[in-house]
Amino acid sequence: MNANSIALGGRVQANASSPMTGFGRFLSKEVREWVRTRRFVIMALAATGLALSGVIIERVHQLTGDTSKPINLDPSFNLTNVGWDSLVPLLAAFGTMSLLTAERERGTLGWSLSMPLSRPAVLLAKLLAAVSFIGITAVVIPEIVSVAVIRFVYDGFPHGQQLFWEPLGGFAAGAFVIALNLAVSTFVRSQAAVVGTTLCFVLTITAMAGLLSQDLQRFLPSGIYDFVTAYGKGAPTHPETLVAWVMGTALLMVVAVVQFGRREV
Amino acid sequence: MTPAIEINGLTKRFGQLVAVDNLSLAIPRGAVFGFLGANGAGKTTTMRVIAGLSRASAGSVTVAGISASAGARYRRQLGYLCQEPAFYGWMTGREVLRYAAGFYPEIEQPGRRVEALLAQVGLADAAARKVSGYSGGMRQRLGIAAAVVGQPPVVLLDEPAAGLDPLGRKDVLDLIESLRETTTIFYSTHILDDVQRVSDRVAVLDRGRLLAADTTENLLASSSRNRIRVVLQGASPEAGSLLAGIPGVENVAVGESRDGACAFTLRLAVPDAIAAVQLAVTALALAHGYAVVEARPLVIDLEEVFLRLVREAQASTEKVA
Repeated sequence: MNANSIALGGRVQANASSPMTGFGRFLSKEVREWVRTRRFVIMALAATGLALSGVIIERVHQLTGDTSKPINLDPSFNLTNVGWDSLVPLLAAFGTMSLLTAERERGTLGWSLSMPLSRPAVLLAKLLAAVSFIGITAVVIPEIVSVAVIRFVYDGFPHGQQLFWEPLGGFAAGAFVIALNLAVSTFVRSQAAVVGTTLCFVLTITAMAGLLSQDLQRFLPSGIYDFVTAYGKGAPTHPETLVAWVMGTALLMVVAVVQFGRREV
Repeated sequence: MTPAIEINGLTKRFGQLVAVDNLSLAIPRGAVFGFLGANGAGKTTTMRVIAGLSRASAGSVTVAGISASAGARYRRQLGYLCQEPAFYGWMTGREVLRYAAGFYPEIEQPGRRVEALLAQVGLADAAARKVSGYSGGMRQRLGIAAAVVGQPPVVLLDEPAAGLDPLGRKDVLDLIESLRETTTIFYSTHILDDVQRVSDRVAVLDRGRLLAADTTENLLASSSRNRIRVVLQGASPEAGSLLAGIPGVENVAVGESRDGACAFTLRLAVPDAIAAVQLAVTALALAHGYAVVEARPLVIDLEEVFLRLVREAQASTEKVA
């Protein structure tokens, strides 16, 4: 340490605090962390790779002479082949499993929370950053690349419905999974436990949906993909599903905020 | 004046384990307060509760008169360095301080403050390097800079000099010294030399219980002012019973015998009797043919005070058991 001493400490601040104190600062850190830690690139590469494997499968069948089923070279159909309803939630589950747990293990969560930063602000910043980056890496980038590949491989562009509503449905399902991951992270400490619990929960809801009547299925938030794609096609939809998705996501965040507020860091 | 930190009846349990047991402390403003205890004494737990990272099982904590339940407003009064400082490894040293400074919008010219702090803690040259490549000492200094970046009135430092080489320790202690006039510093350690050097107040914690809390001066004086160390040439340990007969002497502990001299520690009933007892020792030595090598008030350091307090507490616990 050198001798050019400065006034280091010592004034009382009496600023009021809100439940969102420090939100902006923490959100900006989250955004930079997504970009700087290469999570962004890894997620985009994984999502694009998986999406392309769905996109080119029909052409591969054609080239390999596989005649076990009819081959469909329609560009719109092949964008649907990406399987947005499983791709985005799956990547969301794995891509956000470490949001809270890794910070807790490293000790950076404790450090950040020792400053004027509220716990709800931490959760909301993490949710917003994760939803945005999953949207970009698991929806926007794979879609752009897929459309480019479809144009080249199938010599045409997908229709607007497939281009917009299907990825949007997958994105909505992914957002629910991110909220679920965050809520689970406030209860369990390891990343494996987070992703395991989340996937169990999603699979249980999906299995339950199969056992329920159509009338009851519409009240499950997991039906959001079907709701969005049906809405895009102009087919009849059940607004209860949208309400269930909004309420379910909000409820998960409330549970996360309450539990996170109670826990030791 | 409201104390900088006021802890009332703080208890922290982890299941059956009582980590901190009914701790009450008032840390005056402007103090450099050393919080002593062996490993596992409950220092870090207490620090974490004060920092708002852990919830007390019972009792309360206020900082600058603001309760810990006030959340971010409470934490605005505090800077905290944990035992093993953790930062985002992808940030540079400068970014770490800028990130921390961002939580204090009231800082004027945060950029200048960050640069000044980097220079103050000797990290100006390493400011553009990622903290994942920092050594333990550099992280510790960066942690202290981050703790004070918001100019909080109170700074908590948990083992700030632990694991540092002598040069690094000196740097940290110098930094604590430089904060003395503007900030209340509450720091935990088990390096007693450091405490004696920089602290003006001390609390000793053992197995979650407060054993003593006073100014460093009083604590040292209370342990030494009623004791005299006597070394008699030509005396055997049995001379202890003669010394015990001197009026004003409460008891005598026989020390080492070497080269025909024997050492004794006399505990006096009242501190004022030192001069009279010194005279009586000289007279006794003359009468029995001993030469007085030494007869002076005992000077002890904080380490001895600490060890005595802990041993007494352990002995009393064993007696009760």
